[in-house]
Amino acid sequence: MTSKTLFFKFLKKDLGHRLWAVALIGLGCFFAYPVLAAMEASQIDTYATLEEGLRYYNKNMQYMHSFGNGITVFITMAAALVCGMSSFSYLNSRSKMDFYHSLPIRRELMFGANFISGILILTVPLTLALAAAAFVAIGNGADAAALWPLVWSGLGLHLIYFILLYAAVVLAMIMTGNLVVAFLGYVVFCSVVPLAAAFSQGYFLIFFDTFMTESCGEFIESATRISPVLEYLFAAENYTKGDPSQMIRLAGTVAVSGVLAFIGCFLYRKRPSEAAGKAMAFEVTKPIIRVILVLLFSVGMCAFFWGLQESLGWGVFGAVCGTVIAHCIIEIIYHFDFKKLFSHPLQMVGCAAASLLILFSFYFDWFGYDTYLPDASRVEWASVDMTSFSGWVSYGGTREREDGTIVWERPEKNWPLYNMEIRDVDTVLRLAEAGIAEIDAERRDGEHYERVNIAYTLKNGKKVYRSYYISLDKNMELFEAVYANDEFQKAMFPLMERSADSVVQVGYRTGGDREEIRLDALTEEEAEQLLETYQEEFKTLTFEQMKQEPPVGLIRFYSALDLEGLSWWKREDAQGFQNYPELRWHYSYEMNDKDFYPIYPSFKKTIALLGQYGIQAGDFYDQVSVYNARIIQYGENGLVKEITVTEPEEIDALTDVLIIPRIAYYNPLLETENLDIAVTLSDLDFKENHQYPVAIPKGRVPEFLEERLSEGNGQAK
Amino acid sequence: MIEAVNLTKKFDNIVAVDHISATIKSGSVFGLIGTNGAGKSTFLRMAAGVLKPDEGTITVDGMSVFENPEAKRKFFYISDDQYFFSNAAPVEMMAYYKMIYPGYDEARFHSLMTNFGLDERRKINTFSKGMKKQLSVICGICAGTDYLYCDETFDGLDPVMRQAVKSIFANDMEERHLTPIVASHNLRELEDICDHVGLLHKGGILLSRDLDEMKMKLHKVQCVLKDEMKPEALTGLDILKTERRGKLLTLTVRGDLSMVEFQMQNADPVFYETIPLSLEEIFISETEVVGYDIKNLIF
Repeated sequence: MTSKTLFFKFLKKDLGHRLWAVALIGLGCFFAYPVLAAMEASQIDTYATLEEGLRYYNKNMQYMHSFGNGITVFITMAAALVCGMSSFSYLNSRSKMDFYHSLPIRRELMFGANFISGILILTVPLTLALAAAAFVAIGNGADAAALWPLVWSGLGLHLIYFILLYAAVVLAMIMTGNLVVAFLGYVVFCSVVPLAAAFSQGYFLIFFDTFMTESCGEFIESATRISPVLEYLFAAENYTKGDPSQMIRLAGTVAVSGVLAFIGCFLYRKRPSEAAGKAMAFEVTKPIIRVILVLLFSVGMCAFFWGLQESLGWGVFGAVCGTVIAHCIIEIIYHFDFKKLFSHPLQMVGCAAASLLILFSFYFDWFGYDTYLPDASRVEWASVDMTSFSGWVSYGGTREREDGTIVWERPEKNWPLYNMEIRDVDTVLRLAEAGIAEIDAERRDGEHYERVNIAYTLKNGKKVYRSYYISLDKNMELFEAVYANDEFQKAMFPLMERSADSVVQVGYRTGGDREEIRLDALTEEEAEQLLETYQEEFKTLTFEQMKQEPPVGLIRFYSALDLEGLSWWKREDAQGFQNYPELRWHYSYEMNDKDFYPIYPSFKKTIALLGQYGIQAGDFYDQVSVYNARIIQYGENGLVKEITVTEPEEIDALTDVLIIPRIAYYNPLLETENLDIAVTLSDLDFKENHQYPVAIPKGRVPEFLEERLSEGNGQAK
Repeated sequence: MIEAVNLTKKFDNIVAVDHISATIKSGSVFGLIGTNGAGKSTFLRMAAGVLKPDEGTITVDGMSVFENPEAKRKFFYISDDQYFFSNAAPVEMMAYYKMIYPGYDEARFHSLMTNFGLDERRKINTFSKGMKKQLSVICGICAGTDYLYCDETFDGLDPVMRQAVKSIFANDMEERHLTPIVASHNLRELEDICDHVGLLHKGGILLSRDLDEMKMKLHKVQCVLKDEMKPEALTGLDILKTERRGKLLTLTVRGDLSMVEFQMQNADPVFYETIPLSLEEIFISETEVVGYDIKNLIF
């Protein structure tokens, strides 16, 4: 009998012995696809029109058959476990090993037949169920031309990832001799690298003041995707993004599955039959896995106790405790004997020492992470993000997606750090130097500290990230030097690079309940003039101006797509998001509040231009009448004093200094008094019930108010 | 012929088979005897290619067994805990074996199943231990291989069935030169089946002899010597053991029967007779010679 014939006969017999798995998966698929498709078809009539119902049904059916379907992901992951474990469960039984391995069949053939039959156990019922669901859907009016490609592409992609997971389970089965240990092995296989990456990031976060998650963002993502399960979840999630790199990853997944299957076959041939019933099949893997897991657990326990107590002593306790517990558990599992918990004591001591070395190296910063300052000659360019200055800026832009939705899409990465190229590296290095000097310095009350993130792009292409907390008052010149840099401005404030040809409308917002005013009849030249004037004035804004001036209003330069997006949201909202039910709970008007820039009182030219077009940009309180103001002062123990101001003179004195918090938010250097203030405008019908919050800049409390607040020695009213 | 040379297998720190060299000739029934843990099963599992030897080699008709389907087609291995597919009936096992062993004799399978009174379509998991053993032997016999490895297969077989199996063995040995290799911890079970016996102890082989040869070379002599004569005077005899009950002497002697009788006649005793030794007695004598007390090893 030829090997080929025997292979297929063996495959058929193996499938016959595992009909229960086919039936189990088949049952799950039956309910998850054709039954669900039929149930959803009965919902078509519940929509306002048949067309709407069909559109919704079509969309759901396409999702059901697509790669992004979470139910299929779950079924596939569960099936990988069931198929992988049942395919090679005989490896854990001595009598089965005696039976199979005494037969005149090559082990490669046996492995191949078992491996393939495991794949078929999912493939056959899943294919049939998806095809049946597609027939049900098409029979109920779904678009066949759109559905069938999704059925086959979705099935193919799920099967690719199924084989990846399945190969990982098979590998775990071959490397162990017990079903429970094999399952644990699979869990370890899927989680050890992501956990190691997460713990290493945790250590950097805990022990280094200057650490930024961007430092290891790509590393963490890559490490996370080493896990077959997480790779599958990421891929399914990213599927809809249409990222071309997905195809490369897909090819990689196929290759990795092939490599895993090859390793599985190789190990299967090498696997000693006497491994059946033991925890681990290969002696050589025992210390490697033990050391990795013990170190990981030890580092994790150290981080846990540090998190609780933030002391070196507790960190040491956690590391030692973690080492001993993990070592003992692993030894018990390895030997299936509680009394063997302290086997290999030298390895345990070694792991504890290594874990402590890791802890001390981070705690004492032996490698000088926090004090790192690159040589200027090695730096190609630097990028700086002053976080409170970038906090109000809307990075990203309006985008129309393939599914017809129009959204404000944020960039995935920190925009300034990835888009800024400051060539004046020396100034940035001096700023970093100031940050390093303040790492352990005590913070002084009343000083403005700024969180500054810096990325150095070295000449060798490497990017190095650091984050500092720097006193702005003490290093004002340095901050201003960086702020005035053209490259900084362009990347930090995207409007500075905007060209007028994309501007079709200009919006202006001020305080209170005042609606946004739109300039929708500007000519191209007018729009250009307004944009350029604003850019010019914004660019010359100094820190001193910002400290003194609260912004008076906000300006937005709309593109055609911005306006289209706003209309789209308005229209869909009015229709209750029937076509896009997943957006029903989305913050519909997020796009409304994006991309506004502050107008300062010193932006005289901009204010004048706006005035020409009918917008009175200026002090909000010059344009409204305040009916009353309620001021609440809080102390450490709660409410201290509540004052209501109604006298016109006092209201005048107050409105001279009042600012609107939602506009003041655009000026990070403007500090406000710790008072809760609400004003009621005279021109509203429901005066008492229609208050809104305002604030007073620091040090500008009117004299009358200071007196009234100090009356009664700060006693509560 | 199965040949083991310097065969060694360790499980962690335990030496299960310790440098065994043995030859199992074709056409005879080889009995592998030893206590639990003596290494019988390990030896058979290496002979079946289930385990890979740590040292040494084991060959079947000159072919190394491990990962060699050609060598594996020469034998059928019945383990001490034979595996049957869950919920399978004998006929399904037969179909499976038929797929694997090209020379599987299906007609004989049906015939033997009927002769043994076993229902081919009954679930094997409802069979008694003895019935499963019978089924294993039937499956093995019908595989048509040159060698049949039986690990503790005769445990649980009643004397009638043992006799029936023995007859099948004898028939197949006669017709197609089958070589059964039977491992057991019970010497009495092998006595009426084996032609050649290997005694394993603590992983090593104590002796490997032809049973007939042993029976021909060892004799028990009961005699009463004349008053003035002592057993030491029987210098022509290779006396292994002497027992005395009053005037009656029981001697275990090595040598040809004719030579023993000649020597006894020359000694002119009052009375003498030669009695055949049981397998147990032969083993007691042989192992005592090499310094072991077999009662501690087997019984």
